[in-house]
Amino acid sequence: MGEIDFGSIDVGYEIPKLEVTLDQMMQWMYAGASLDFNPIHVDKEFGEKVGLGGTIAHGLSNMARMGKCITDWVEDPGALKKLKVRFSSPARPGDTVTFWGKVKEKKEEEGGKILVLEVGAFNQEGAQILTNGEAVVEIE
Amino acid sequence: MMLIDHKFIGKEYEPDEYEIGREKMKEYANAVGDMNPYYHDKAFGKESKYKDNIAPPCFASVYNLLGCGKMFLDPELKINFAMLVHGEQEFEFVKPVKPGDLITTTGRIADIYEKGKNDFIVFEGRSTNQNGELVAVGRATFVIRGGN
Repeated sequence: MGEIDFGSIDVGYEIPKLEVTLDQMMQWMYAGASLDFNPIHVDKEFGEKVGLGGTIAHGLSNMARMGKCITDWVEDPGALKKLKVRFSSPARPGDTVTFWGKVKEKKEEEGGKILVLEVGAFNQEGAQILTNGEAVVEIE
Repeated sequence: MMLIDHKFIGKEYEPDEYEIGREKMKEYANAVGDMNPYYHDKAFGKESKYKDNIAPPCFASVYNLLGCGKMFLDPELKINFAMLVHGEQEFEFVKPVKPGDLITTTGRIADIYEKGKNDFIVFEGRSTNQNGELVAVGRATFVIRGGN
C-alpha cells in the first residue's frame, strides 16, 4: 500500500485508468445491490421494445466505477470528498469503458491538501459515457 | 408542452431512514468489481483509522436517493415519468458511513429550470447519521426529454 505524494503531483497528472468490459450479469448484480430493477437495465426484450436496442447499464453503476478508479489510486476511500458526473450516453453489455482522471487544480487550505480532478469515461468507440466530471480528493 | 411550476422549488419530502448493512455495502462494492479492503476485510477495517469497514463512497446512491421516488410520483408535480432520465449526479462525501449507521435523508427540490426543449428538476438529498452528523449531500439532476 503506497501513499500519494502530494508534493510530486502536478496539475496535468493523470491517475491510472480503469478499463471495464461490461456484461449483462454486472447489470443484474447492480440491480440487486442498488434495488434499481428498472427493466431498461435487466430485461433485453423490454429494452428492444422501447427502442434502446437492448439493455443499458445503470448510470450510477458507472459513477461507482468512476469512484473505484479514483479510490484505487488514493487507496483510502475516505479521501474522496466529492464526485460529480453527467450521464452523457448509455453504456451497454459488451462495451469496454475506460475511466480516467486528470489533476486540474492543487491547493492547500486549513491544513488539508486538496486535489481537484477532471474525470470521465468513454467506450471502445470513443462515445462519451461520463462527461463534465469532477472529483475532489483530500490527501492527509 | 407543460412546464413544471417553479413554485415547487424548495418543496421538501418526508425523510427516509436507512440502516447501513455490512453485507449490503459489500454486495454493492462487488457489483461494481470493487474489492478494496476498506470495504471487505474486517480485520483491515478494525486496524484502519475508521476502526471498522466503511462503505464505498458511491454507496450513497442507495441511501441518499431514496426520496426521489416521492418526487417522481408527487401528484402536484405531474412529472412525465416516461420521458425522465437521470442526467447528472453529484455527491459530497462529508463523512464515511459504517455498518450499523442509521442514516436519515431529507430530500427537497433544489431547482427547476428549462433549457432548449427539455425540463430539468434537481433533487437534493441531505443524509445525516444517528449522531446528527452530516455524512453526504447528493444532487441528482433529472431531465424530462421534450419537456414535461
